[in-house]
Amino acid sequence: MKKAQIRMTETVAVIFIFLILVVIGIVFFSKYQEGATQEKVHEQFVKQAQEITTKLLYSPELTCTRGEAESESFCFDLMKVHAAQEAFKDDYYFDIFSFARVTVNQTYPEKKGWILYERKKPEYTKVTPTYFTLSLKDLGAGHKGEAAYRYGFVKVEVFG
Amino acid sequence: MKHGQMQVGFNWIFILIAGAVILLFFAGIVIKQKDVSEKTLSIDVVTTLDSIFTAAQVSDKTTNIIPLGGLSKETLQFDCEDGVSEFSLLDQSFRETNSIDPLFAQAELQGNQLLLLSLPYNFPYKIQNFLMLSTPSVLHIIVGKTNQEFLEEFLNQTKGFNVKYLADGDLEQIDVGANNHVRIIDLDGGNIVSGTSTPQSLSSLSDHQVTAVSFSGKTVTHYNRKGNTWNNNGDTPLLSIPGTRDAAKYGAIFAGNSRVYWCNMEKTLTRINHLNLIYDSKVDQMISYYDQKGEFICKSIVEDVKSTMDQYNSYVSICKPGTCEGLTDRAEGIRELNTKLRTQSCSVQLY
Repeated sequence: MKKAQIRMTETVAVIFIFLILVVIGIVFFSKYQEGATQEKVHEQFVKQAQEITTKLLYSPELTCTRGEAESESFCFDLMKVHAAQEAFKDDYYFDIFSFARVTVNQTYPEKKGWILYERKKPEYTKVTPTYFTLSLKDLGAGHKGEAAYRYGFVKVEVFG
Repeated sequence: MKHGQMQVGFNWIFILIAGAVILLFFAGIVIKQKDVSEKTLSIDVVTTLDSIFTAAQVSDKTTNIIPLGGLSKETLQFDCEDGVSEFSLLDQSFRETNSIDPLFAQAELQGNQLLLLSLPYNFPYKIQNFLMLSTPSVLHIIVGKTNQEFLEEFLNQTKGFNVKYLADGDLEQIDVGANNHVRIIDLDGGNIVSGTSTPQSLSSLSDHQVTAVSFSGKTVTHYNRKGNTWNNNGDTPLLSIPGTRDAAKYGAIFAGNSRVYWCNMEKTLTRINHLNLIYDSKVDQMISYYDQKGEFICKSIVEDVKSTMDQYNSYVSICKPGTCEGLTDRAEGIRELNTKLRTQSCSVQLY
């Protein structure tokens, strides 16, 4: 082999190795980016689940009222809960609760449950449930003008 | 030229071309990454702010001060059209939209802090919370003496906001300072008149940085500056009932213009429509309850509530600027009947 040919082969080999290194770099970078994107998507999903639960807990459609005063914290009015089962079927509530299932469960004195909202995401891959304990005000079951309180929890399952 | 000389020349040209290609390749990656990071940052900022707004909005009567740090040089843009509000960073394409929660803010906000005020909107029962947004760079000037009660409440509620009260109403006394927006709030309704001159004290600001809002009875009028005169950009009805904290009035004070104000009020009217389905059902449950209990006085009051609710629903459905007369009366009617249920010691009230 002539000297010039050897040099040319060397140059081609150097460029080849350089290109391989560049390709390896790009592959590693894209893998890292993919991982970071997935993490971000998961983070967004968890954030969305928290937001939906927060909005539900303070929703005027469910919370117990005290006339002109502030609403009672973490308390659902059972009369409103019964009404919400039908009202939450409207598309308007999709903008608030998105793809989720909201269930109110009474645990004391007796066990009862109501599905308030259900909209499953087609081909969902994960479900994140969030639980929150609350009191349930039964206006029709009290004595001497005082409402009776039941206890339970609300379960919000967000589909992702 | 000898063979060796030619080879050296070729090598240099080869190195130059290969070097240029490699340099361009990496420069391309850097430019692309810069663009991607700017977009990602804009998305992160807007989604984080949206979460902050959600958290601030759910809690009643709270003021939150959010330091903006590195974002203080960025401008936040707010708009609302056809019942959907949106916000974004200036010159960035990503925007967060919302068709449910009313958010009242100037069209552009910039400053070292974001000031958030959340107030419940009761009409007559709680409909939803209104979120008001501002920054310390927006100077709110209040004029007017007739509504002393609201004035005191507003000054108390907006502690931490950039608010000044001009007792003598002389707008020429306004010191703009380093503020980038001045909003005049005319509580009497006679201090700002369309077509009249704007104060000379505001001449250092450009037209879009000077706005005003005026309250006259149950009407809100927003003004902007056009040349050197006040320009009426729309009258809207003030949907509120006396005796409660007037969140609708606060919304008008912080909204950029009448279009944005009414757009957010439309969201509220839509919410009332949906919330009323719940209350309609509750009324039916109350009638059955009082019927079973044999409490006929209470039952008759609830039947009155039912008929007032029917009228209220009709008025809500048709309410637009100019066609909302009667709505406030129906809301007041429901409130009176609810109070009657309480005074008659009826065990279950509407709200």
